Amino acid sequence: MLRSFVTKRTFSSSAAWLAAKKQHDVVIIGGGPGGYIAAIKAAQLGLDTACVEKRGRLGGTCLNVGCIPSKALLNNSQMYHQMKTDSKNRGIDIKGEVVLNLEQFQKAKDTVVKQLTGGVEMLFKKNKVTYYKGLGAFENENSIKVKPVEGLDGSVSKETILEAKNIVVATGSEVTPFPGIKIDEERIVSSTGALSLKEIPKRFIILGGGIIGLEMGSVYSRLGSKVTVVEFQPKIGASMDDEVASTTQKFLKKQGLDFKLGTKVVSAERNGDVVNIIVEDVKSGKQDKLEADAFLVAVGRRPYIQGLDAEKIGLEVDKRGRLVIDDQFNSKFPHIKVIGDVTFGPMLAHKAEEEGIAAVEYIKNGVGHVNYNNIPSVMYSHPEVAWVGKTEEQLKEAGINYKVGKFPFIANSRAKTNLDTEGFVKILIDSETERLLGAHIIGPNAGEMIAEAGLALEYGASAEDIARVCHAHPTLSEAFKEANLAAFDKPLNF
Amino acid sequence: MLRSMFVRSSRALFAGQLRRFHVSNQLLDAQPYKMPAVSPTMDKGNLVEWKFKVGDEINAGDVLLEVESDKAQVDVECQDDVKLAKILVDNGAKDVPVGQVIAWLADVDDDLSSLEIPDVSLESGTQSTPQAKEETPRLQLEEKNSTQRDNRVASKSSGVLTAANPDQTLLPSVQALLAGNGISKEDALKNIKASGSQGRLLKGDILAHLGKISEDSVVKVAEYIKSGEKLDLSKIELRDTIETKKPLDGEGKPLDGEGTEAAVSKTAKPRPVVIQDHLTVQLPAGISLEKYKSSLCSFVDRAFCVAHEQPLSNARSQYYDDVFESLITPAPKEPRFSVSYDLVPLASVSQGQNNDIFDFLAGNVQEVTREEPVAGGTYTFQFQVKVDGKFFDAKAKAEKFVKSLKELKIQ
Repeated sequence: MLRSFVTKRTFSSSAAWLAAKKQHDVVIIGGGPGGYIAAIKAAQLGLDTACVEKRGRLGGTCLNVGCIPSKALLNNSQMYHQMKTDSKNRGIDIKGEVVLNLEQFQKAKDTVVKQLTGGVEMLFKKNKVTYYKGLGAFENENSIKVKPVEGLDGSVSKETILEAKNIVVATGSEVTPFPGIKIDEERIVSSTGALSLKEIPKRFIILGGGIIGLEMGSVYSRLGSKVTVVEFQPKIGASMDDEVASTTQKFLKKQGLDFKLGTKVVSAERNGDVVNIIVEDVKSGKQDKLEADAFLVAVGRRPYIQGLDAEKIGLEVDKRGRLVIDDQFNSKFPHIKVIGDVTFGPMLAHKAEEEGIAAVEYIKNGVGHVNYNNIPSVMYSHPEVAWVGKTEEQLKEAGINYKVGKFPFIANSRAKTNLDTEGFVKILIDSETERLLGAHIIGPNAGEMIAEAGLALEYGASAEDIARVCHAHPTLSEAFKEANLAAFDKPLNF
Repeated sequence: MLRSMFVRSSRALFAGQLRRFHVSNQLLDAQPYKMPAVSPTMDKGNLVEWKFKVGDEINAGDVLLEVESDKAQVDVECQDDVKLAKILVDNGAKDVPVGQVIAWLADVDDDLSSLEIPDVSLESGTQSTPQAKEETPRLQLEEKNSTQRDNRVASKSSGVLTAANPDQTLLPSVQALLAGNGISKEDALKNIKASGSQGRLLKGDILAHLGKISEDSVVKVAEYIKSGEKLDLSKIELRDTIETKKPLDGEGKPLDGEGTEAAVSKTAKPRPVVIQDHLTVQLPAGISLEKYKSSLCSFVDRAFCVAHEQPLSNARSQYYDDVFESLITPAPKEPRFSVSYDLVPLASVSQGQNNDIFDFLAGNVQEVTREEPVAGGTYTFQFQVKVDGKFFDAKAKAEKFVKSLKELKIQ
């Protein structure tokens, strides 16, 4: 056994056999959407940049077990569902049967993930970011120890100390477990397991009516599962505008999803191939027994700092486990910045990206900018739901007088021709200045359309400014324009 | 009506840098006139000369006073028709802070003899006037309140309302409004305060300028939007101690099979378990001590990693998923134990042990070799494994590690 190490050593470099030391201007811990974007940006700004990632594949939760694989499932399940249920109306007869090939279905998803994570690695090479595969932990406030990961292809071969002038912590988040429920990722699954169920469950129960729960519910509902969503709150959709949330619920219900709102899960136990779930009505306390073939626990995510040794250098952590920062992403050490899910703000990939860029711009130039008013959210159900800015509830709470402009997709020519007319655009503007305050869209391609609202918000546009911009005809985006017209004047096509 | 004052400077760039204050004149008889900033960086300046006397009527566009900043001497114009009611800071005053009330202005129709001049002693660095002292207490109070209100609005405006950025492309609504009201782009950029980011003129700014909406509503919405631009970091509740960070989170954390151990570690205070052991090793022939030491180092490191990385459960099971495993393992990247070891020639075993205890007290120092072992011969490989009692799987992993270390003997 010893000999093998000796031989190995002769092949390895002649560097000191103790921990190797490397120096960098910036070391980024975590190669998720926050970390890898920060790394590329830092390298582009001319900084000698390194990124430490233990997963072996870049892209973090988002690319590997989050946004990206779920969108592959959502898109393909929607195609399958449409072929099965909708093709006849459109004049397409399918001879033979439309059958789901679950293996290939999963493979298509895995291929996409592989290509994208590999793509990020290519971007690192292109931008000359040094990539360390290994566990990054604070050795002291100026150096990061990268430990080898056993069995990981390309892992650093020995402990390496990275001395860094600046450090960006972007370690992300993990699934929040639910007290009393043991996740086995086979029958009782987290969002990770829900992405690769081995079979289509006949009965699929979801704990949590947030975006993750509703998206996975949509996927398996389209593939034939009987889906029930159990949510503690009296509404679904987490931070969605109330009206949008209830409309979304109506659409999903029409698609066959069942909702138990204001209901909590008391227990969930696996019994052979069945999960027995006891739920309780929050108000009445009445209990009910449910059975499922698969049970998804999707109650949110929590910051992830395990193994980072943040306590070794005394980084502050708040009661919800977030690393504490100031408004320039500084931890208690100004050269250690923290971005993304592991700190404050919404846990969204694009928010982490913006912070990553701002953090390295602070390092390079001393100025960076993220506008937290303008962080869009998208749910990729069908129809999609997207929003940015304030909700009606937030405006009421702040005592802002606002006007609402709404335009339904049923009155939009493109939506009509697509036979895809569910939903509306809802615009919220200040009643005096007519400045755009929020945009809420349920409808086809809402996730793409919300970008226009983001641009308008960023530039302080009024509803009139949006309405005065020429929109191509016939497009779905005309609905957005019309809703803005409706907000300060009158819509033309409704 | 008094709307605002603005600066006409030979340097057009400075124009519009003045603070404007908007108060409806139901509130006040006299309007405070504050030391204007004539350059963006100016925080104090010299008052060169008042061009009018108390009681004079001033027409919009007349030069009211001359102000000297560190950059330039600038004529400050009056935008509305007013009457100069009271001068508080006289000609030639040096280093007058920007924002200090330097005069009171009244409407042209006001009768100065009956005009109430508020007591501005509340404002720092402002002289109170004898006239103000003569006022009845009730009126004084009223005026003070309104002065404060005025200050509030003014300071608010200065936060979100800025001079218009002269290099901007106007928004379509702004263009339409300006064209409809016969205001040129140049005038708009010079005279209208902007509430958009980076001095962008928004529709609301023009509407307020035209008097169609109140400036307060512009300020209100701009402030509301500004308040949301940054993360709210005001109510951070820190965890009490660092220790609370590490223990298992809630009873809900799924545990693989060793529930009792976990329960113990949750309730009882974790106490470190220390496993000490040693092996006698014979240096293999043909290998230098240096080489042997490096091999030993990587051997220990590898055993350490293997013990940590290899799951205790069956990794070959088709249900095994390392991503999931890492999710359910408390602090999967946290070391379960620490190891310190030493390679000492047989003669100095006792000293080696002392070192180890010291290491232990100082908190796991690795690879301390104080004495240079002589090449060749027999050594004692001493090691000490400190198990972190916080983790249910720590002991099992540590034992696995010790077992793998002992394999060295077989070699």
